[in-house]
Amino acid sequence: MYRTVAALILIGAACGTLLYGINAQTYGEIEKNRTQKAREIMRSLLKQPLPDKIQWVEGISGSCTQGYFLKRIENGYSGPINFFALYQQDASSEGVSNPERLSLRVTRHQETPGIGDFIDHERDSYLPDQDGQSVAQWQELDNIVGATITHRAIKKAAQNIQLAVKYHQEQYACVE
Amino acid sequence: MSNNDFSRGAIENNPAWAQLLGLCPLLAVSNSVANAVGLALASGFVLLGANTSISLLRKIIPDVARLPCFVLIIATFTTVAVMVLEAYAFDMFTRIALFVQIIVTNCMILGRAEAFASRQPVSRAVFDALGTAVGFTIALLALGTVREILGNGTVLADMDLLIGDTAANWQLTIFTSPPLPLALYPPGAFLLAGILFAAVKALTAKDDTIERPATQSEAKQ
Repeated sequence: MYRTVAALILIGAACGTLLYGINAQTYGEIEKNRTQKAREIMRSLLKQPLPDKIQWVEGISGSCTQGYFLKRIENGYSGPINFFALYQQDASSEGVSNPERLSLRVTRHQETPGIGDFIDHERDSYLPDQDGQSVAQWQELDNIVGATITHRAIKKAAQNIQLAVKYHQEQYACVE
Repeated sequence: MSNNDFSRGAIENNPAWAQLLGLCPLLAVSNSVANAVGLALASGFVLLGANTSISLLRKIIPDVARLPCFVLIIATFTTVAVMVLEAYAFDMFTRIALFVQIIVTNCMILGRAEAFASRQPVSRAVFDALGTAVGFTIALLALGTVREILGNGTVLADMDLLIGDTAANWQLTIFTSPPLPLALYPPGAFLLAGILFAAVKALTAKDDTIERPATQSEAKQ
């Protein structure tokens, strides 16, 4: 019994040490690649050049006049789905508030290939096709057979992004 | 013995056409040579690392918990492959990431661990892993080449994603208009894999007209 437990601890420790070492070696490069990809997505969503340095405050960047970029993680069928969003809203005019425009992209996911990977904008045009819809319109999207949980994660992300923007606007004044 | 282990894994007991193992990533990723090479390298690395480690630790791994230990070791090497690909071949990683992550459930690797590496010395386990990895690579490359030519009309496209700028001009255009675009899709993959495996079976078929011992009723007659 003790021998079995000791063996399991030894094997676990060896595996953990190997992963720790490889992570230390590759972490910088991985972060650099992810940042670069995020910038490419931001540029393609905003359709204009980005500043060299982008400041993030609690997963949100931008302003109420230009729009907000948000990072959001929701649970999918096979693990976390990393969303990247552009949330824009034109200023209210004559007391009528304009609906917000939300565009979503997925930067990382582990959804089932062929079923849940429609959320990958490089494989499928599903998310780009919904660009600029309001949060209410995102909620009304038809369900996708076989990918209910993945689809639910998209709707939840849209809702939570709106809440996060509202909270952010309450915390920080709307300045250019 | 080691040569036998290698050739048995690569040809006779080839994981793809002889044992039909690892078909999910094989069919999904083999739509181009570049993707096939990427997955072959990742699978080969995990197979070699897992076989070597399991063989080294075979006297320590408790028999009652051997499968969790095998899965832990395989998952460790799969995670290493994922991290290295994401760090140094990011564009390729984004194309084959899903299938690299599920290497951990590839029964080809768990099968070699259970059936061979856990019972044999390191040298034999290494040759078995190399043979199996080469066999899987041959199947991936054969299918990847045929699918890319028929479905895309090219060979070696996008190899720069894996190797770097030196491979930027490696692409050969065989057909300006792809003759069978279906080849890039799952039904095409199944059809071509079936044809490929049947062809290999036909080429390597042994004479099966071996005399069997007569049954009792036949003997009485």
